[in-house]
Amino acid sequence: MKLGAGSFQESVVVEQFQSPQHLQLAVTDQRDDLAGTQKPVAVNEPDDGAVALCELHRGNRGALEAGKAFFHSIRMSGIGEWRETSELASEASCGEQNKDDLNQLRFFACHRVVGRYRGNTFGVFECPMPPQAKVDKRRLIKDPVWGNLEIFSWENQLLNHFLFNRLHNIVQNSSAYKVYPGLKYSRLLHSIGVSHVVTQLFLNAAAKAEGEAMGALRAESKQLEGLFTPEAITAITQSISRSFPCSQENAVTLATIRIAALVHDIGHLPFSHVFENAIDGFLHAELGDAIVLTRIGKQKKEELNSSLAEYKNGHDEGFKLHEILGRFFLEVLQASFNESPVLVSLLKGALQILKGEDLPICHGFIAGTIDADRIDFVRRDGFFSGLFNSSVDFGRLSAFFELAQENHSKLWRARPSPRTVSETEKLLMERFWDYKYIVVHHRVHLYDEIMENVLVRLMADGTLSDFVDTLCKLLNSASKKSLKLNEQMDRVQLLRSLLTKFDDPWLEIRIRSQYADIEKVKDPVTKSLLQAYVEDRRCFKSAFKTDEDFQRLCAEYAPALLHQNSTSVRNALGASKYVLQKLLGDNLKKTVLIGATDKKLNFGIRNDSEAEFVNVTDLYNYLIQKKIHSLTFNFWYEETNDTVEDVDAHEKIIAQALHYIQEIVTKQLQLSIPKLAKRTHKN
Amino acid sequence: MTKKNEAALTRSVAVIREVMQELAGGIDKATFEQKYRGKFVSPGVTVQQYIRQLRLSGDLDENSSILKLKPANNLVAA
Repeated sequence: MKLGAGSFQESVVVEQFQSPQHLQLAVTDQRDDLAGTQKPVAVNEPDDGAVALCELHRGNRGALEAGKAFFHSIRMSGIGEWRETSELASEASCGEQNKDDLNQLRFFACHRVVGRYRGNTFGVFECPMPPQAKVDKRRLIKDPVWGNLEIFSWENQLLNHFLFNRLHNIVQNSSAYKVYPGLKYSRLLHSIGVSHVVTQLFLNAAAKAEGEAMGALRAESKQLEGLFTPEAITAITQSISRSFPCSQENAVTLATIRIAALVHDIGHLPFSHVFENAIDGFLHAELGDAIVLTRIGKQKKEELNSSLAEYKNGHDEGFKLHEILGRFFLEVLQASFNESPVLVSLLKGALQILKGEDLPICHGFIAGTIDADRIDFVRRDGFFSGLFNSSVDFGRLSAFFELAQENHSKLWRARPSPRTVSETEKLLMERFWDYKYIVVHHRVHLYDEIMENVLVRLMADGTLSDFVDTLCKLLNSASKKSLKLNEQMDRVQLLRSLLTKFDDPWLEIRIRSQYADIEKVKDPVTKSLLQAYVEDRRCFKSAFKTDEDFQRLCAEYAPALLHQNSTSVRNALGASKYVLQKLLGDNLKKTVLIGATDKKLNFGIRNDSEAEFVNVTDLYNYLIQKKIHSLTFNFWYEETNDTVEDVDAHEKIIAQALHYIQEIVTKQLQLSIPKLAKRTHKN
Repeated sequence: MTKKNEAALTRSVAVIREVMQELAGGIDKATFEQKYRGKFVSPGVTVQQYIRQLRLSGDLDENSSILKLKPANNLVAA
C-alpha cells in the first residue's frame, strides 16, 4: 500500500498490539521530541493533544504547536518498511481533561500507518474512508539547461493537453537551425524552463518583500485568490508548500504565475515570428506587380483585413497576432478543463497576468526588462547553438530579485537588486549577442526571408486560404460580445478542430507539396524560392556579412541610406520591399530578397526610465550605439556561376544594387542624396 | 518601371512621408499620438515604434511637448 502525506482524517485502530495505556505512557515519555513533523495537524479542539511522528531532527516543531495543548511524539513507519517521517504523518489526540480516559484516544492519519515506539509495534491505524484530498502527484522533467524541474499535477494536466502539446511542434527560433543545427528546441521546452525560472525569481522577491512592497504583492495575491474556491486554495497551498519555501498567502500567486509562464507562448504560429511577419506583409505591404494576387487571394486578404479591423475595434489590447491567438487558446483550454476547477481558475489568473491588467508585479516576472522569459531563452539559445555558454550567475541574479517602486508610475514591480548589476548587465549583453549573432545572422535572416516570401506568395495565390479562413472565423467569433451557451460550445469545437493543425509540420508539408508540383508554378521567383527552401539553400549570396561590410559599402555607394534619416529609409525599405525586390531583380537579372534588421535587432530595454529602474543606464547608452552601428538591412541575390567566389563581381552587384535602392528610396521619400559617393562603380 | 509598381512604391511610404512632414515642422506630442494611434509606417512597425527608433538613433530633437526632426534630417523638398 502506498503511503504518503495527505489530508488528515480520523483513523481507526485496525490492529492493536499493545494497550492504549502503554501507548499513552510511551508518548508521554517523549513529549518534547516533536521535531520532524512537517504537516500542521488537524486537531478539532483547541485543547486536544496530538501524537505526531518524529524524526531525528527538530526542524518542524512549530507546525504542530499552534493551538494545541500538548503533544507527544511517536515514530511511525509504513507497513513493511520504515519511511521518511516527512512522508508519513499521524496524529492521535484526546481531550486533555479526559486524558486518563484512554478509550477517548483518537488517532488521525493520512492513510494506513503502523505505530512503533522503541522497536515495539503498538498498533496499525487506518483511515476508514479513502482520503478525500488525493496526494498531489508531482512529476520531474529533465531539462538540459536547468536540470530536474518539478511539475505539479495540475500543470501535468495542462502539459498533456493536445493544445499545449502543439508547442512541441513550434520551434523557438524559426530558421536558425539551418545555420546552428543544434538550435531546434521547441517552445514547449522553453515554456517549461520559464516556469522554473519564474518560480525562483518569485520566491526570492516575495521572501524579501516587506512593508509597502509586501502590501502591493498581497493585494495582487488577493485579487488572484478571488478566482479560486477555498478548497482549491487549500489544495494548491498544500502542494506548493510541500515543494517550495513559499508562504501560504503567496502559494496561489506562485501557482498562477507558473501557469502563466507555461502558456505565455501558446498562441505562436508555425515558425513563430516568420509567419506573423508574412501575414503582416500580405495584409499591409504594397505588392505591385511583384506578387500576383489571385481572385481568391484578394478575397481572403479583404476578409482578413476586415475581421482584424472589427476585432481591433472591440478590443483595447495588444494586436500582435500571437497574443490574440494565445487568448483564444486559453479560452479553449479553460473549456477543456471544466471538470478541473483548480486548473480553470489558474488559467483565468494566468490570462490576467499575461494581459498585465492590474497585476504589474506578477506581469513583470514574465514580461519585463529582466524577466524569466529572457533569462531562459538567452541561456537556452546560447547552450543549444553552441555560440556561448551563459556566464550569468543565475543563482545570484535570482537571489537578489526584489520588488521596487518605479519613480514615474509609483507602481511596484519586480527587478534585480542594484547589488547584482553585474549579472543584469551580463544578461542584457548576452541577449544582445543572441539577437546579433543568431537572429540577425546574415544567413539565418536569409532563410527567414525565403520562408516569409514563400508564405506571402502562398497566401496571395490562395493556397493557404484554409488558414486565413480559420483566422477570420476566430476573429469574427471573438467580436461577438455575447454568445449563447450552444454558440460558445460551437466556438470551442471550432477552435479545437481548427487550431490544432496549424503547427510547423503542417506548414512544412504545405510548402513541400507546393514544391512537389513545381512544374505548375509559373512565377520564376516563386520557383527559385521554393527550390532554395527545399533543396539548394546555398544558392543565395548575402550582400553584407558583417557590420563593417555594411558601413563601408553603403558609405561608398549609397550614403543617403546611412546618413539621410536612416530610420525613415529603413522603414521605407521594409514598406516597399516586395516591389523593390522585383525592380532590383529585374535590374540585376537575378532573384533578389531584401530584409530590414531593425525589428529583429533590439536590446530589450524599452526606454531610459526603464534602464534607470533596472540600473543599467550606461549599458543602455552603449547598446544604442552598438545598434546604430549595426547593419540595418540586408539583401541577397541568387548566385550564378559568374558570381561564385568572385569578389569583384560580388562588389559590382552590390554597388549596382545599392545605387538603385538609394535612387528609389530617396525619390520615394523626397530626400536629397547628401553628397556624391566617393567612387561610383562603373557597370 | 510599370505604373502599378510606381503607384505601389508611392503608396507604401505614404504614412512615413506624412509623419516626416509633420515632424519637420514640429508637432505637439499629444496631438501627434492621437492622430497616428494604431497606424503603421511599414508592415509590423507602428508609428509609435517609428518615433522610438528616431529617438534612439538621435534623429529627433524634442523638448517636453514638441516632437521635431533634427534640421539635418528635414525634407529637402515637400
